[in-house]
Order: sequence, then C-alpha cells, then structure tokens
Amino acid sequence: MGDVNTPLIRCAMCGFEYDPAQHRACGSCPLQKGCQMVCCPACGYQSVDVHKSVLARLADSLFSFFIRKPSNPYTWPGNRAQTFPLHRAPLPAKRVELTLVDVPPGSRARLAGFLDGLPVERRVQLQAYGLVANDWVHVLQQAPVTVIQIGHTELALEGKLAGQIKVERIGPEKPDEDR
Amino acid sequence: MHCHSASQPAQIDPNGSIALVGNPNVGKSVIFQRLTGQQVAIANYPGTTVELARGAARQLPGTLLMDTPGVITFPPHSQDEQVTARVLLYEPLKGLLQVGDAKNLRRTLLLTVQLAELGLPLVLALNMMDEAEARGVILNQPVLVERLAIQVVATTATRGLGLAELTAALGSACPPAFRLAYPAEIEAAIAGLGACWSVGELEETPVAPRALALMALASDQVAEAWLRERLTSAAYEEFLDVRNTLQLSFVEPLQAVIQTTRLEYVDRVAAEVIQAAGLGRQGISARLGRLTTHPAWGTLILLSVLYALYWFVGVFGAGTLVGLLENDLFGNLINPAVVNLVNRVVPYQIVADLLVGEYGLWTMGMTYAFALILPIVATFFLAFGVMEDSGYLPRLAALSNRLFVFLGLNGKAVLPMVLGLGCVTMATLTTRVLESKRERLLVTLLLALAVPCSAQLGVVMGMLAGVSLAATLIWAGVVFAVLLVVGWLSAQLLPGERSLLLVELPPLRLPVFSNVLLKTLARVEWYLKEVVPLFLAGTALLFALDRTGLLQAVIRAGEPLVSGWLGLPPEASAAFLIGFMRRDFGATGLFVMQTQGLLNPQQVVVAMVTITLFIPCIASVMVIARERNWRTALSMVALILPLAFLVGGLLYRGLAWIGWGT
Repeated sequence: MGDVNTPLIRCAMCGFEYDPAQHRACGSCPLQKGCQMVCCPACGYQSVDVHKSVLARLADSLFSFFIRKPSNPYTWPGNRAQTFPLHRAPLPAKRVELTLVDVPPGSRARLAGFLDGLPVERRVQLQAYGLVANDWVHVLQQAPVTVIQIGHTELALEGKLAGQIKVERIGPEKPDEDR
Repeated sequence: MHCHSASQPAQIDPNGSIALVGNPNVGKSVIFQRLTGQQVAIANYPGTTVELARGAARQLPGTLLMDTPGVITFPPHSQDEQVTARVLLYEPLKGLLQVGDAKNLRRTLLLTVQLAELGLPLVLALNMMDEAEARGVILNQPVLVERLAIQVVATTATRGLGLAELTAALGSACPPAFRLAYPAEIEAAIAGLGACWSVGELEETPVAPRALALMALASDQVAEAWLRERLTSAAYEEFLDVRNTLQLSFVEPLQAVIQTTRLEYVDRVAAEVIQAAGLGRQGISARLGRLTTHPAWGTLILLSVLYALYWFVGVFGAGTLVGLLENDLFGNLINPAVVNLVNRVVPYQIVADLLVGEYGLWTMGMTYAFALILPIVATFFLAFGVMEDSGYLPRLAALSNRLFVFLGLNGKAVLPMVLGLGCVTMATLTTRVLESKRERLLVTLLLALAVPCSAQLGVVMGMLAGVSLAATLIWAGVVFAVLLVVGWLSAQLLPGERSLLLVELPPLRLPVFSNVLLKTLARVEWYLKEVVPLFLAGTALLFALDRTGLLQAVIRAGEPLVSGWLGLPPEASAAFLIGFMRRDFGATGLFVMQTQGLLNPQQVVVAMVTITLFIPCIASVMVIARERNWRTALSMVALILPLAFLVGGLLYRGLAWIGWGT
C-alpha cells in the first residue's frame, strides 16, 4: 500500500477508486515515458495524473478555487492534508470532538489535548506556548483567526490549527478547581 | 524532581562567549544592548533578531556576548530558531544567559530545563519584572533558585534595573547541578549512546553528552547534522538503530515523551514558585489590541494607519521636506556654492563636469541621496519605528492571514513583507522567521517583485501625490494585483504544504521615543552607507556613458521599449538604466523628469508601476543569492524584469484606451 495520505483517483467512467502510485501496469506500457495519464485498472479509462502534470495541477487548483469539488478527493499534493484517505477501510462513525474553534468568543475552555492528525513538532510547539491538557484558556475571538489568551500570553492561531486542539469543556473560568 | 550531580559538558572554553538565549520578544536584545553598549535592532515583535550580534561585555573584561534569535523550545522549528540551536553546538561557549519573561514562568522554565541540561554555566534573568508586578504576578524566587540550582536575577532591562546583579551573577556562574530523570528506557538509551560515542568525537562542542543524546533522540535536526558530521557512518547508523528501537517502547513519538517529562517537572516547580498568577491584560491597551485584530475594526485601523503613513511619508516627507531640501537648501544655497567653488578650483573641465555637471557626482549623486532620498527614508523609518515598537505588526499577521492563505502562505509572512517596505534587503533576511523553505522562497520572490523599499516608496508616493489620489490608487491597485497573481501562481507551482498560522501577539505598548529615534538614526546611517556609494557609482556610469556618446545610444536602443511599449519619453531609458543599480535611484531619475514637466499623469503612473516592479537593488540580489543560491536569484531577476515591462506596457495601453491622464 502507498502512503495513507495519498488520495485516490476515482475513475470518472466506472467509479472505481485506485491509488495511482501503486499502478504497476504503467511500468510495462511502451508509452510510459513522459506520460501524464493513468489508466483505471477496472475499465482502462484514462485520467490525468495531476502529480505529474504542472499544467493540470495549475488548472485543477484554478478550478478548485472557484468551484468547490467536495466529491473529488484527488487534488494536487498541496491539498493532500485536506483530502480523505479513501483507500483505508471505512472508519466507524466518529465521535464529534469539541475543539477550540467551537468555543464562542469571550468564553473559557479547558483543554483536552490534540487530535491525532497533528504532527508531533507542532504539538510540542503548542505545549511550549502553554497549551497543555487540563489548562484553561480564554478565547478572545474566532475571526479572522482564533485568538486565545493563556496566562499572560495572547496567541493567534489559524482556524485549522485551532480545530486540532481538543477541548474538554467550555464554561466560566474556575481554573483553580482543576489544577 | 531528581537532582543529582551536574552533567558536565565535554569542554568549556574559558575564552568562549556567553550566549543570550530565550523565548522571542522577552528583551534579549535590550539586555545585550545594556551589557555591551552596542546598538542592535530591537522591536516589539518576535523575530527581530535574525542574525547573531556579538559585543564585548563592558563590565566583564574579556567576555564576548552573543545575542541569538528567540526560540520557543528545542528542537527548533524555523530557520532563525535553528541559528540559536547551532550556536549551542558549534560555538565555543563558556556560559549561557537565559532571558525569560517573568509573567510567563512556565514557558520560561521549559527552556531553562533544556538549557540547564546542556551543562554550561547558566544564569536566568527574569525580565519584564515591572510588567509582571503591575499585573499582580508574585514569584518565590528563592524556591526557584533552589529547584533549578542556578542563579536567578530579576530584571527590568528597559529601565536598567537588576543589570548590576546580572553582571555579577554572570561573573560567578557555575555549571548547574541539575538532572531531570526521564523514563527508564530513555535513560538506558542515553547511557548506551554516551558509552558508544567516544570523547574525542564530542570534544568539539561545549554541550554535555547527555543533552546531545536527548536532542538527537528528540529528532533535533541541528543535533543530527552535528552528529552526522562527526560520527563515523557506522556509529551514526548505530545511533539511528538505538533511536528506532527506543521508539518501539513508547506509543507517543520520543520528542513528545521527552517534552511531557519536562512539562511535568516544570508544572511542579511553577506550582511551588508562582504565589500569585496575576490578572491578564486589562485596560485601554488590551481593548485597543483586540480591536486591531477585529475583522471590521481592524481593517479600519489598518486603513487609517496606511493613510497616516501616506500622509507622513508621501506628503510631508516627499513633498514638504524634499521641497525644502532640494529647492531651498541644495538648489539655492549649497549647489550654487559648490559649483562656483569647483569651477574656480578645478582647472580641468572634464573633472569639473564629473563633479558638478549634469551627471555630476555632487549635483546628481549626492543631491539625489541627501536632498531627495534622505528625508523620505528618515520619515519612513521614523513612522515604521513607531509601528514596530507599538507591537502592531504581529497583529497584522492575524488580520491579514486570509490574504496570505490565498498566496499559499500564512499571516506570518506579513512581517517580512511590511519590513520590506523599509528595506527589501533586510526583509529578505527576516524571511528566516518563516517555517518552511517553500514559504521563504515565495516571500522572497514577492519582496523582490512587488514590495518597494522606503526610498522608492517615498519617491513614488511623492510623485503620485503630486498627480492625484486616483493615480495613487491605480498604482497601488496594479502592484497589488500583480502581487496577488504572481503569488498565487507561484504557490500553485511550488510543491509543498502551507504551514498554519501560530503567532504570539505582544501587548500594545506606547513606543519609547528615545528608542524609536535611536533606531531611526541607526537605520538612516546604515542606509546612507549603502546608498551613497551606489548612487555615486551610478552617476559616474551615466557620466561616462554621456561623455562617450553611449548614453544617447542606450536611449536610442531603449526607445522601442521605453517609448514604443511604455509610452514614456526616450530620456526615461537613463532612469531605467540606473534602476538596475537601485530601483529608488531609477525612481528618483523619473521624479526629476516629472519636476521638469516631462511626464504627464498617465506616464507618471506607468513609469511608477514599471519601476516598482523592476528588479530589486544589487544588495537585495546578493542577499537572495546568499540566503538561497545564485540560480534562484538570477531566475527571479529573469522573471521580474520582463514582467515589469509587460505590466507597464499593458497598463499604458489600458489607460490610453480609457483615456486617463493624457
């Protein structure tokens, strides 16, 4: 199997989903040199491999900027983090996690750690800023970015990052009872 | 807590330096300046120090101090944090001075633990004590000293408080008797690595082997690179095996396990030391600070700040002050006297012409530098100094994040971009605060293409202010559109992921006038040192071309491009020619053409757009080559030059089509 973060191509003809990186049949194709296409293993229908074509990547980004394409997970590498790894087995219904982006401005929140997808380097950095489980933070605003106050420090975090920080509960500040 | 004997470093160089280390924006540079008497750039935002500053400590004979970029924690995340990590491993050090924010003790202590593990003599300066006290923070300092086994000094560096005690502590600092116990598996790995690495291999760093092992186990790239350079490939492979095997003992990555152990210790110490945590920021400063990041109010405040900047630099600096200096002082008093004197003293006409002729070193080079550029640069740096000391700039990062997300960056990119309005060369260095190579490259390109430096901005503003507000808006709109299009396209083409915004917002403070003034003077001096030789060289080049008749040839050669494509008078070729040296020098040539009535409003706008997008100055190209490589620098020049003329020509046709400014 390829990298779990590698998005799959969904064949426009038959709907079969496949990983272009694992498409070994390409190796035996006489036209493979410089080829920027990939064939569906089920029906043979050709799709553009946007990882190989700069122009296709550009056009894809252009279209995806103006037209939202939620159904097509196959976007260029820059958007990989936003795509869903379809070649994993379907996950069981996920429990909705409360995160910092869900905290209304002006409220306080008790932190509960980080979502699993957050890279360890970022986690360590956030902890160093004081974002540690069981600590209380004061959410000052949510737009254009999330601004929080932790101790005597104000931090601005992009919504996507704030959405990776789990919150145990939202409520009036009573930090002393919890620490 | 587990305190045992000190972790002795491999080698402490008695002639080595003392490095100032600490979180960003805690006053390291102020303390450095107070202890050395040396002026360094200080501002109210993280990332001001991107290069190392060194200076002799006035009260500690024979001791060199080094000011390092701020670091949140190790392993380092950005390029400037890596500079600090490299200092610890590569520089001969005899001690460390950690500067910490007394209000944020937990964050300070997390770094203290890591520094104490290095085994070097360490002193902790708990700085900004006045702010901490004003907010009701009470710390039990004796307990802190006892727990960390290092000297701790309370300071308020901006007012010089506690610095005598700090100097005394530095003079008598010893390696800390500090040892934090990690999980047994990690301790075993550290012991194993220490036994494997021979003493000879580690002698080149002052850092204790235990700390080095911890850094490497936590995947610190600087430590890994250091080990790769010194260990045999077999020994390095063995280390990787040890780390991989150790990782199997933990669910969490090793970096997280090590950090958790440190955080637990810090929490225990902080609970004992913090007697009162104090209240968060209140009052007008806090409210105003929040307004500056508010989506609507923040935008209004930003527009007001931009208008104030336009008025102060463009109208007052480039209009009133330049008028006074150029016409009244240089035009009526200094230049006639100098011309008179040279003509009387110098017997050779060619030499006299070189000095005071049409392309004279004095009448053109020095007059441009002092009468036109100096007032503009000085007013800009003054306004900029007020902005950066007030702590407004990081708030711009929060406010502008969405725009930079569109450009494949995050709001942190606004810091080098705004600094670029001061000096593109300096700002190119500041791209080190960005986290990835991709982001640094993107911002460098945008700086080189579409961010005019203060001198050029002032000249542009002065020229456009003399036409109309509509001219200014057209110029700003076109340059901004080019920045957006090129930025967006580059972001799509450059592979890699965008990092998410995480930036600390320092409190809004009233700028200290003396600091702003000193900084403005230092920057003006630096600027003149850089600009005057280039202005003189450019003038000499023009003089030589004029004398040999080549200038007319250049003007004729440039005519199809300058007159045919851009619709400007042929004489503008000379301005673009010297624009290769500095964009602002080229802009100044166009400014003089405007004052002589050679340009109509349409031509002013086209010329200003083209020269703004023109290649950056020689110094910037050199810095881009140094920070990236020559291939990148030359590729940027090859992209920017035709693009500037393309946009200028299209604008000329667009304006001519709608009939504006003819």
